[in-house]
Amino acid sequence: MKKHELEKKIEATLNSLEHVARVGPGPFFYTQVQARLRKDRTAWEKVSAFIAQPAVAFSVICLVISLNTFVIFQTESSSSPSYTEQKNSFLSDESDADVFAFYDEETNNTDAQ
Amino acid sequence: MSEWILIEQLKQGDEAAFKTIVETWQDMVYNTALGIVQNPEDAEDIAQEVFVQVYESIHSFKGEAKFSTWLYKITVTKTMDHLRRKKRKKRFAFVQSLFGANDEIAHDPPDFHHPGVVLDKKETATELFKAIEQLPDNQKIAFTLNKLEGLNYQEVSEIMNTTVPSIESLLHRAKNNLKKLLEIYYREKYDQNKF
Repeated sequence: MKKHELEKKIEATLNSLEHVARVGPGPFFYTQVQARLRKDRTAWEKVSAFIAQPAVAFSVICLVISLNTFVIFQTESSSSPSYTEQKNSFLSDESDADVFAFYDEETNNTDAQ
Repeated sequence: MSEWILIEQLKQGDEAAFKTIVETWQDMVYNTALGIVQNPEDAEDIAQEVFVQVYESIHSFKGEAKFSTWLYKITVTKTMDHLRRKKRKKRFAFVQSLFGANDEIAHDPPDFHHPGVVLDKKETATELFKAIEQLPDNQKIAFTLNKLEGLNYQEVSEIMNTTVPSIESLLHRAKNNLKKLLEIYYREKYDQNKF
């Protein structure tokens, strides 16, 4: 195929959409759109009806309350000091108190003698 | 009736206004979708989705752009979603076929004949649509809006949320790619006929 011929053919193909007429959908298009709208609405209505059922609503509320309670207890237990921290702080308090008390007492006795 | 009155009526839930809107713009929406997806059933499905979206989100239309531009934007978005879904399905079917789970034979889609093309250009238009199908999505959309819907660069740029120069360059690249694709196609066809 000659280059000139090929170019001509390509150009003709590229211009083949000139004067193309706009086409439309089938004759019952609006009815189909309406049916689709109704279908979509029914789906949402089903979801909201399900959520609005007393049993479902009550279960969801119970679940939310128990989750909240669990989270509150977890936070409280993690904020209180651990056993090791408690033990160390107790021992250091105790030893500090004893040492000073003992020396204070001894100093007082020597002074008295 | 003015489109602004129709839109206001639809915002108030007027079914008759919605019917008029659908009937006025259904060809524009369907024709755009058809040009991009090249399948009448898919195009009709997309057009239905577009009008459902219009009904549900008419309150978000503030009138800053033309109503037709807003409609084109929804159409292009829905069409892109459709193409993405189709590509995903194709990939999934391919993976399934690798594991032997899908015994369906993959068929090439049949040639697309646009019903609005004049008779003496039917054959070349079919060849052009075959080439358009292979373009990247943004080039495909810009070319379809410009050539099939007859929109100017300004209108295409508003629909595609970009500037006029970028649409010019997009269409230039689309045309070059189509030329290359058509050249390969015609050379192969010529070689086949020779032997």
